[in-house]
Amino acid sequence: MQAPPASAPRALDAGARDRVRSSRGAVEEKGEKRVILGVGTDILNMQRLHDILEAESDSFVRKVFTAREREQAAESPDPVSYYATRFSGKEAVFKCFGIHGNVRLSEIEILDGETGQPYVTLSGQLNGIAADKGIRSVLISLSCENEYAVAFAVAQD
Amino acid sequence: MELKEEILKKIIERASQIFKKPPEEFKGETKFVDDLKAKSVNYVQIITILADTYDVDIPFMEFRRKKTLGEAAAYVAQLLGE
Repeated sequence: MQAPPASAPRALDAGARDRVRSSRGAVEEKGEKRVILGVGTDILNMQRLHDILEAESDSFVRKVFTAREREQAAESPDPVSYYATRFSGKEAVFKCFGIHGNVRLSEIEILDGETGQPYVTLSGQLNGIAADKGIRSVLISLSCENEYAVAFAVAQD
Repeated sequence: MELKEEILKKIIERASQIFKKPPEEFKGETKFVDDLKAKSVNYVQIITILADTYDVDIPFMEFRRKKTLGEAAAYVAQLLGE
């Protein structure tokens, strides 16, 4: 199959239409320019998490995941993939903040929205750190295939 | 036994299970990343057992900055007020 020419129109979902990357690297959201303040990525071998969940599920899960994440995992057809992508996502968010300190993984909540697109909610000290850094939102993309879960996060003002 | 040493013993016990090596192979100077190739989930596994044993809240990001098992033990002892 021949690749479409670069100038071919592409279908954009509603979110994409509102967030069009400008030529200067900023992201325009509904006409407002958003500056990227950090990016982070992570990859996780899902077998590693599978083994942990089998051996020490309760304590580990309570330390890492919020109550709402645990609820969504329980409803998921594949809880291991759900937890693996969230864990990877939390790591990616930490990396895009570029911080150390008294922060807990459960201060990052990554839930599936109504359309399945994940979204990030910060709490606790991380919320304050975000405010200090001028971060107003964090975008996240999660994926998994066979052995690995991957995540990519973008912090923006 | 001093609290820091007790915590180190607990970390070594857990590390021995996680990394499938005899406890004798672990010391305070053992490095998480260079020697054990530890991943994020492994730090959480260690934090979980320490938090449950000592009823202490251990911040993940700060714990993960510790290069050696001994530094991690000292940090947790410090959290416990030693």
